[in-house]
Amino acid sequence: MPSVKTITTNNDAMNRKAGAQEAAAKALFDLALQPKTVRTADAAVSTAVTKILLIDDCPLDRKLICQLIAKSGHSYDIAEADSVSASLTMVVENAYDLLLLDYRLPDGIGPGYIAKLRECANNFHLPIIILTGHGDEHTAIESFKDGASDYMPKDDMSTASLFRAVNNALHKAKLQLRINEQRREMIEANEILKAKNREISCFYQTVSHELKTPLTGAREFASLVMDGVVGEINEEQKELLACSIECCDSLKILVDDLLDAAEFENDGMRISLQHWAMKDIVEGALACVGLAAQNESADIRFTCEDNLPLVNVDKTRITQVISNIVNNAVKFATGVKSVDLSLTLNRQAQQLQVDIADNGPGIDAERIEKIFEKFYQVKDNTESKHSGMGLGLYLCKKIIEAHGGSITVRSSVGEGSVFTFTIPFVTQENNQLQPA
Amino acid sequence: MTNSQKKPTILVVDDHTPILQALKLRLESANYTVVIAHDCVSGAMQARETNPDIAVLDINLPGGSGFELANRIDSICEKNVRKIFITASRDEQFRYNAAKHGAVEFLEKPFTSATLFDAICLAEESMLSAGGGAC
Repeated sequence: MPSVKTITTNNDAMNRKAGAQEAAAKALFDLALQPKTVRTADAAVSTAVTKILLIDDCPLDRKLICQLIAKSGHSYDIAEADSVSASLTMVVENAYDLLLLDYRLPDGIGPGYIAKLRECANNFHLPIIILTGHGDEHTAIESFKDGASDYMPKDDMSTASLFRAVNNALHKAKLQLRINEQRREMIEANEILKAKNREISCFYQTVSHELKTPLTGAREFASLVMDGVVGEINEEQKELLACSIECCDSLKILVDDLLDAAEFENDGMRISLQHWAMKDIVEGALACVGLAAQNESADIRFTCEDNLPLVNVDKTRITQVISNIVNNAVKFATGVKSVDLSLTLNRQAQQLQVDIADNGPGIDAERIEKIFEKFYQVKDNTESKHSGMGLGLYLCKKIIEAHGGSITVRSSVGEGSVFTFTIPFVTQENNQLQPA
Repeated sequence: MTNSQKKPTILVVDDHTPILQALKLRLESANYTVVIAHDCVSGAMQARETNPDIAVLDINLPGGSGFELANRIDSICEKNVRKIFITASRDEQFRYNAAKHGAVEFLEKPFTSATLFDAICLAEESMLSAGGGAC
């Protein structure tokens, strides 16, 4: 098995080394400032012949290493440099695939040299294998710390071991370049997606504006006529106008739900948290749905435990959840409609629980599994008169989950349904806001 | 506000004519003096000519935003004109900007007449607490 000997330094060599180190440092600095092009994995792959730069000050060592590489039978294009300063120019001017670097050179390779060499080569993953005759563990560790791809003691070097080390280092570098390229592609794709999201967001704003503006006019004119502002009207006319206004309000809810769902897909659920008494929120929501319930002759009851802790919630969003469930309960029930709401404390789970029970037709087991899915509509022959986009309960679930709570439903066909949602209450541990 | 006191003058600025007409009708039916404008420039002119007490301002307006118009009104009118911003947009930044401009209320279209009058009441209460509105 062929082996090579390392050269030793003497005093003269040490003096030369100090001057050469200074020159090398300056050369590194100058070269690092030169403009560079981006190196890609494809560029490395497309190189038919692997280009290796062997940096060693000992001509005999260089010759022996070249012979070892030649014996491997693979085509390598080997260039040689006998010093740091000579190698720097070559690295800048040639796109080497791998460097074989003697650890001890007259003009020295101090800490950070490997990184600087890669910087000059404009290839931050350029494989560099350190060669040395002083194969102690310390040298190996220092080489790896400095960023070397591998370490080979010259004394134990063979064609097979050198070939293996070269191949491994090249393969690793190629993989690293691929990873980098894929990462760059992902970043670019992410930027494109972000830009698309911004466009979509802008589109939603426009849609919202363009739909709601005429809706405002339509609702307000109907309302003006119904209120008798432009002349007296009879009860039948009032009822018709009330229907018209209700249609406008339904359309507004549909538009809002659609935009909420779209925005949620785009940006996630945005909530603005403040401390509130849940009792107040429930009562406020019931006041909102009161008119609709009155029109449907529904009996809505609300019971509440005393002295409940506050919750940290987006009041508008929680109101939306309650209104949606109560409106559904009123909408789908037939005959004598009743909705029972209760607000209770689950101290152990540190949650408040809202139960909303109705005496509607109920939901069968198959449908109940899908009820919180986007665009899912509970429809059958008896319920088909009720329209909607199937977004209300989907949004309810997203809203409750955004608050750290959960929402469930249990139901018996022909008896009714109970929707239950929980919201964590404010404790000393999670209390970060003052009460609103 | 007592019956003996004069009802405030309200400037309504919206580029959508039907909304403008509807709001004018609605507010006049409650005996307010209403002046209207379709854009920022005419809104500022109306503010100069009529010296309103309350301004109901749409946010997306030709010639500038409702916030810019609010600034113009502040520089034109000697009194503290109470502002109510209205918009059909869902941009949360608008709500934040409205608060920054000292709005007494921010209404998202479509709104009910009750909501509008609640906002007007708030503005009137603010004027009363400041001593009749004249600053």
